[in-house]
Amino acid sequence: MAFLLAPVAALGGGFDRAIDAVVPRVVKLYGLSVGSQPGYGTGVLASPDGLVLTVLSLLIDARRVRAVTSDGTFYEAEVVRRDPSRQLALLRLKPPDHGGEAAASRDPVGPLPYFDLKCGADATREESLRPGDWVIAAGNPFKVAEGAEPASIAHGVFSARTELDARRQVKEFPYRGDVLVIDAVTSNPGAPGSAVVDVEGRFVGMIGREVVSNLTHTHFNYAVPRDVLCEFFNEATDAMPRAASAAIASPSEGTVDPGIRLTRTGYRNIPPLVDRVRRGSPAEAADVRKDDLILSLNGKNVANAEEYDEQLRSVPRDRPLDLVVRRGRSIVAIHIEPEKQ
Amino acid sequence: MCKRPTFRLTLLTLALSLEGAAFGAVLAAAVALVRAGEPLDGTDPVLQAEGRRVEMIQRVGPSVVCLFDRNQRGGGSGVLIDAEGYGLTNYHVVAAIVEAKGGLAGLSDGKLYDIEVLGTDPTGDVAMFRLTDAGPFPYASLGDSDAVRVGDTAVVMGNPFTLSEDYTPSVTLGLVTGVHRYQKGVKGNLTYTDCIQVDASVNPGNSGGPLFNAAGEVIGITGRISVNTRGRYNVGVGYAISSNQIKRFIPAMRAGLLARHGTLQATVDADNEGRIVFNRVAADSNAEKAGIHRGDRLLTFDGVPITSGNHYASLLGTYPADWPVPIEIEQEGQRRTSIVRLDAVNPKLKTPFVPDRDVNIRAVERVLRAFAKATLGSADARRPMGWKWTVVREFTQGAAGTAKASECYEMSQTGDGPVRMQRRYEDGSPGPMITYDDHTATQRVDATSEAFDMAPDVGMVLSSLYVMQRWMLEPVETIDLTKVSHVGADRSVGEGSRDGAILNVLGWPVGRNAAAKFGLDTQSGRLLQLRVRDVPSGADATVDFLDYRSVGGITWPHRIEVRGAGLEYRDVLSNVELTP
Repeated sequence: MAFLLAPVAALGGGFDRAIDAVVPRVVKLYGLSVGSQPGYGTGVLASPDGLVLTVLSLLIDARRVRAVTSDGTFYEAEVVRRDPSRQLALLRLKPPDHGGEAAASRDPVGPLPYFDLKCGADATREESLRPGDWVIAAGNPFKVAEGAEPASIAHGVFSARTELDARRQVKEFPYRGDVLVIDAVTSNPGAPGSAVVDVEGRFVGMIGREVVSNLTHTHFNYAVPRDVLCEFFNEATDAMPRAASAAIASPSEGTVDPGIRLTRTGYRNIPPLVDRVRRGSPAEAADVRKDDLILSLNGKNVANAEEYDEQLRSVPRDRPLDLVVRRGRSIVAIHIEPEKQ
Repeated sequence: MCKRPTFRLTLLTLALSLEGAAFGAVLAAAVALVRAGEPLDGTDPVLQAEGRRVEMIQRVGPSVVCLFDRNQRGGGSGVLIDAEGYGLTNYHVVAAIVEAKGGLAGLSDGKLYDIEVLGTDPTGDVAMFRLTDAGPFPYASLGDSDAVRVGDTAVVMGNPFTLSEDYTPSVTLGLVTGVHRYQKGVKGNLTYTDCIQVDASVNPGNSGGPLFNAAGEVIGITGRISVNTRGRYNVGVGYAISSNQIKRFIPAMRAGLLARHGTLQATVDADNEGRIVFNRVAADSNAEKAGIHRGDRLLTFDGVPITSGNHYASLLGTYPADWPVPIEIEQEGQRRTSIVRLDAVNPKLKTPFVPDRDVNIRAVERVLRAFAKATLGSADARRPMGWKWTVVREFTQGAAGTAKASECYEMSQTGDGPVRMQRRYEDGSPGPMITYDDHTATQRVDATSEAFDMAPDVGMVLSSLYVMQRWMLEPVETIDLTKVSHVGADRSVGEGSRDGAILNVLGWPVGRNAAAKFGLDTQSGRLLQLRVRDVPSGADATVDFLDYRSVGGITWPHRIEVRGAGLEYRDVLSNVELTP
């Protein structure tokens, strides 16, 4: 009977418990905007003292990231950890710096309403969420809500838990693990980082970064499951990416991997800016540097990160790469010798 | 209608809200809603709820119309709100129709009807139209948008993608996902303030159509969506102008007027302690005249505690020009409330708006018919040729000398004759007899004295009662309306003014020099308020008509409260006789 009760509860005011649980537990985030990427998003409160889960996006690279809780209080958010393989980030809220105040004298943050991720040893997949169950998401798509105005909700049906990797033709995206597919339009600017709960208000996942299909240009509506968030949340604090191979999103096997990581955000038309150079890689040996803007690869112009990937795919493994980059005001030609096997 | 089509409808709605490759997964999920091996019978709560929803949709569906311009191009939606065929839509839908010089409405009977555009509200993106054919037409009723909560059922109906070939509306279902939302407009127009956000699918073509609650009441008019790089179509974020805002503008739009929004010409912001404070009050604004200054703290606006500058701006955007709004402030440690009439915002229009006199006259007649029905009750009621009553007049301020002095009069008037006011002292002995002549606007004390001009405030009350009597006496078609017009909406400001009745206001010349605005309740039809201005002297007064009681089948006010410059009194009527 419990199965049938879920849809019934939803008809006519039955979402109240879910809405009351989820809306106070998300924060509105504001940070860096670059080109077409919005400088705003959402985060999930994961501890009473202000730890916030969100997606790995450019907005958290801002010098000052602001977070606003549901009661309208402003905080600054500092980045605790980034996870490029899962495309997640962990932030910590700090009281805003009013200037002249010693950090120690500021009141501690909290207690704030939060989701206990229930990352205990026996918490594996979400048992009670089944295909057909309602889910409610709360976040700030289109930054409709400001200050103490409540986050927007969206409702939909949980369709399936599946691996992102299984979806062919999906835009290059490092995360290949499980996702929760939802039939609501959850992929909107500002929505990534939204909290998703079931009809009882139990936390089931977080809306992930925008993923767009190269083939159909449709957006994929999904959430990162709670247990995957748990893995990230529980990892020892480590500023470096988990594994070098996960950090560098190599398109597929059999092609060259010089060790260059471009800034990646999941949107179209990202300029091919070097974000990191892997230690000990051929690119490091050739003196490719962070913030180099790649202009061409082996003589072909490269306008954005997707084009760079595409060009790279067509280069056989043991061939050298000739890059032309803009570094500051100068143009630099770089020759990268392939890795000796 | 059998069950099967409704199941498909639910499936279709689910499918339409999807994108791309996940369709297959959703189909599986939808099928999973019916668990294999457990057939659902008629008592199942899911089916019952669905049945109620289907019944509601079928009941209100016929009130939803598809709007086109005269060449059957373009396309939006609208909803009929009375049996005569008056309807609501968005201003931006009507603007296209006006440019094409005429429009059409397709109804669920499959036919196209000519429509006439009435008044518009460009700032708030609302407009009214009328089916010019004779009714009766199916219509929907307006609900209370202040009662809407996040999570409530939202049913959107209209003509998205103008795909309806038979003019029956398309239906989409979702939830209310936000309330009191703000969406910035374009050059001051089409601003959506204090609006309702929904995740029901809203697409081009839905503009101007109704948003229904679960009970089938119109709680908003959908006209806007948030879009991103994908294109101009639904991504789960739609907005509707709230019904409570629209109700304040309907009287002016019915009357074919340009309905202007109100402004306080003052802005607020949060100070360092988070208190909302006026940081600018324009000189010569009504707010300044009411004694509101820069630095005053804003506590409540129309009874609503204000939490931020955004909140104030959003709420302010829902009121018409000249609307009386109680504003509670804290000034130098003291709290006080002033009722301020909002100044007007003039919308920027490509072509100037020209009000249609015929539309206005029709609106005046409609108000008078409603008044006659409300006061006479039935067509058989005796129409009063004259009236007679005893009035105890209690002064709370002004001319009678001491405060709370009271006087007693026997008043009467017959037909076109003068009003007679016989003063009675407490011991029952008669005092002077004052006669008012409505036509010459003069009064005499006893038959011997000279005639002198009526004090505007006092005399106008009687003149207005005389006018009321004439409205009841004469059929609407015979009343001379050449100097009369419907001038818009107002609100009676009582104790709970947020609940104050919304009024149709008729501008009517009274006496010799006075301009009067009669405010009649849009709901009951009764005369509730009168604002009079004596043009030469500039003196003005406000009169409230209260305590309506039945007198021989005729509904008549038994308490009349007058507030003028330096004069305030209350007339309590008794022994009311309406003479045939």
